[in-house]
This record gives sequence, structure tokens and C-alpha cells, in this order.
Amino acid sequence: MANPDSASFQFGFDENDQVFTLGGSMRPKETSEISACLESLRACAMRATGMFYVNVRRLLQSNNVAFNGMASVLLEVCRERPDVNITITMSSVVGWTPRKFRSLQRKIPRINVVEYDKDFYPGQAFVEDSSFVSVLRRQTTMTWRHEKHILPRHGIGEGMKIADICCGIGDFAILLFKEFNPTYVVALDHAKSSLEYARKMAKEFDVTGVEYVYGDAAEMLLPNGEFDFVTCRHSLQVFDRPERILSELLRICKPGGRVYVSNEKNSHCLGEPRSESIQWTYNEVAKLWKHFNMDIEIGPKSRRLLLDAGFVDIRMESFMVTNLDGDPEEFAEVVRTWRQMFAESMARERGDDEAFIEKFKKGFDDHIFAALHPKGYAGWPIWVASGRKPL
Amino acid sequence: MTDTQNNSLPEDGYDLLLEFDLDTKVLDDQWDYCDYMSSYVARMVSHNRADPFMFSNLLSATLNELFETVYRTRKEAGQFRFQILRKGSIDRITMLVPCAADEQQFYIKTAEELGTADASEKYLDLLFSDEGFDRRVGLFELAISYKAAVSADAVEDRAVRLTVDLALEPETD
Repeated sequence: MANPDSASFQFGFDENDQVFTLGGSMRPKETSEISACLESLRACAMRATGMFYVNVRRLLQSNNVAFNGMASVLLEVCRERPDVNITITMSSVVGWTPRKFRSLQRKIPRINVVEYDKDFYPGQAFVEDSSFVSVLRRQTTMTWRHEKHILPRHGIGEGMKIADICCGIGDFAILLFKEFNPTYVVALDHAKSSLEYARKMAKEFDVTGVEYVYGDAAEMLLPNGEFDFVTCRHSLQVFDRPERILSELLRICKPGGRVYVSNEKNSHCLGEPRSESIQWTYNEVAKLWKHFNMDIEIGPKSRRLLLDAGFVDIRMESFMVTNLDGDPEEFAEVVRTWRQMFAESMARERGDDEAFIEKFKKGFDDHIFAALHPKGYAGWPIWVASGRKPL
Repeated sequence: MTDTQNNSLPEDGYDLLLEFDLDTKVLDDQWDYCDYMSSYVARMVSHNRADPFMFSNLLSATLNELFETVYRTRKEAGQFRFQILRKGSIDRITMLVPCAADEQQFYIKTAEELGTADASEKYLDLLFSDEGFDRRVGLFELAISYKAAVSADAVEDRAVRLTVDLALEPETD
């Protein structure tokens, strides 16, 4: 794998948001080698009003020469422009930055240092809850029955370099590894509890070809054009800006390679008997996610999103996970977890009253009833889509 | 860069991961080698850590400070030797730097300073110094920011041997 740490550095200023962005690797011998960057930082900060942001989320490396240069400029700005507030946004993914920039904050308490990805994604607290791990595992088991047959139609083959972005607990990456014999799999996620679980599981199953990395899907440190096949499952729906993720998926994909996404349209979950109550609840699920700036209805929009992101040769299909696929109790267990997450966590956080929450729960209970009923049918539809990165 | 693995001497139960020798003249001439070597070595030995990217990023940052410190050392003609060894969660970096007595003393005295009560304050002073770059800052950073154990020993009157023990991620079961 090419090493992203060896890239040279870039800088730029967004006047509109007053954000000075630094990226790449800054390891000069003398400060004079980065004088253009430092001059620009000084000039932009000096003419700022109110809040001035320094974005170092993609500054993969900086030596002490560069850091001292940046700090000197910011100290000068603090002295000369007491009316300007400086906020440095860093990423917890870039390991060196919290150590160094916290030192800067100790030196100049007026400088605010924040980890950008701590609270970035609207549903992050819900999906990174470690209690969510069990439902992720069960969902993968249920969807894999379908996807292992679907994936070859979307271009996956043996001997590929694969990236599984937003890998969750990493079980899909292991299944890919076993089924399609790739040369290498990188599985990335932003939930440390999920990654911890993934590593334990890989160790338990003696899988050594999957590299689990902590990262932000919207600003990955993976190199450009590296992977033959990139997967991102059930994740565009938890981001408020899915187009940003897609542009990163496109970036890391090799020209000619394919990006595969799967998403839901929760309002199309169905069941018999008690279909009306089930329908009502899942329509409310869609509204609830929208309240938290997430789109659980994104599945059928995948084609448009892939085209807008610059992919070609879009392939798209859907499948229905049902209570008849395997053990109906498995399906019921997933719905129980949704009930807990959507009704007990998210609806309460939105401030819904007890009457609403009871009615909301009833639809999940009826979905479980349908799944376990000897003559019942319960379904959860998934849309998969893939696009090719142009040569 | 030459691979001299056959000459390696594992120590204290450490496994040797990577070792090379480099003519000091090459190191004197090529600043960019600090970046190349730290990025390369970090990536090569990080693949079996729990989070290879995070580990590699941190290790590269620490190695680069060490290589830059060595670059700024007035070196004698000879071979600079680098080793990275591992025991559990600890990565041990050793560097043998051919240099005269005054440069040996730079390393030995700096290593002693790292253990003093005001080392953290000194680190911040060095890091934010407006009186020009102080080459001690790299070693202070390793000790203070990365909690590394840093030691320096004179090797006769011809070199200094720098040893840095780093634990960059928690031990896993």
C-alpha cells in the first residue's frame, strides 16, 4: 500500500467559513521552506473577524519545525488580534494531532482545540452504542445469505484488493475474505467499540488478511485509487451528507474498479398480519431518522447518488430479508433491537410523549408477531447498487 | 540502506523487526531521508498492530523526530545503525550514531534532563520557543508527549547509542 504519510503538504483558505486548511505531511528542515504557508496563515487570520478556524484534520504529519512555525503565527495573532477567536479542528484519527495541539491549548488557553469527528455525525451516538453490536452481527448473517450471490453481479472477484468502509463489527469483511479470496481487505470504521469486537472476532477465526482501521469515512487516510472493490453497507443512511462519503469511496477506488453500497427504505418494511400498524410505525421511523438528519429511506436513491458522485455503469437491485430466510426468531431479534433503539433511545431523545412511544412500539411488536406467526410473513427490504469509477 | 539482519543481536527477549546501516555521509546530505525512513519503517512494522494506520501514524511521528535529531548531530565518518525491536506492546528503537565526545554528551545530558521534575515545562518552552529551533525538542517530545523511556550511552569515544522504548497502543490480549 502506498504510504499516505509521505505525501507533501497542501494549504488553502475558505473565505466564506474562515477556515484555513492544512493537509498532507509537513516536515521541513527550516521554517523558511514553509514560509508561503505560514504567511498565508498569518494574513488570513489577521483579516478574520470573530471565529477563525484552522483545520488540521488531514495534516497527516508535522515535525517540530513546522509545528513551531504554526504555533508562532497563532501566538502572534492572539497577541495582535484579541478580538479573533481561534478554533483548531483536528481528527482523532490522525494520532499525533491530539497530543501536539493539546500542548498548544495549554500554552494558549484562548485557542480552542476540538476533535471534529467526535460529534460530527448526527446518529453517531446511536450507532456507536456498543449494545448495537449484537444487532449488526445478526443483520449481517441475514443479509449475507442474499449478498453473497448478489456481489459477483456487481463485479467482485477473487484476488482483489477490497476496502469495506463503515465496516461496523467487521463480520462482513471476514465473510468477504472467506468467500472471495481477496489479496487484501481493509475494513474501516469510526466506532472503536465495533473495531475492538472486529479484531477479537478476526483473531478467533484466525483471519489475518483483514486490516481493521479506525477512520472517518468522510475523510479517510487511505490512498487514492488503491482498491479494486469498495463496499459501504447500510451507512450512507446514517450520514447527513452521503455525497461526501461517496466522493471518498470514489477517490480510494481504482479507475475501472467498482463501489458497492447497500441501503434501506425503512418505510417499506412490511408484515402480515397486522400490516397497518407495522406500516404506520415504519413510516414514523423514517420521520424519526429525518429529525436526526439521517435518511433511512435512501435505498432507492442510490442510483442517483452514485451517478451524481461521478460513477458510471450503475447496477442496482433489491432484495427482501424475510422471516422465512432462516430462523424467524433471528428476524424477531433484529426487530426487538430496532424497537429498543428507535422507540426507547431516539424517540425519547426527540422528546416524544408516552402515548406516541407506546403506539410506535406497537408496530415493532406487531412486526415481531408477524415474523413468529406460523402463517405470518415479515420483510425488510434492502437496495444494493454499484457503480464503476471511470478510467 | 543495507539489510544487515544477519548481524542482529536480539536483546532482553525482544524480537528484531528491522535493521539497517547507513553511511553517515548519506544521512548528512539527505534531509528527506528522515521522512522517507520514518514513513517506510513505520508502515513496515505496523501491519500486525491492532490499528495499523493509527499505529503507523504515531510511530512515524516519533521516528521522524529521532531521525531529524540524528540528522542535526555533527557525525563522524562511519555507519549509522538503526534497529527496531518488539516485545509485546513495547517497540524498542536503537540508533548507533558515530560522533565525537561533545555530541555524545548532548545525548547523554538531554536524556538526563528528561527525568527531571520540570521536564514537562521545559518541553513546552522548547516547543514554543521563539529563539530558534532547539534540537533537544525531539527527545523531549518522545519522553513527555509519548511517555517513551529514552536513554543514551557512550560507545567508547566513537559513538552514542540511543535507546527509546515506546508503547504506542495498549496491550491487547
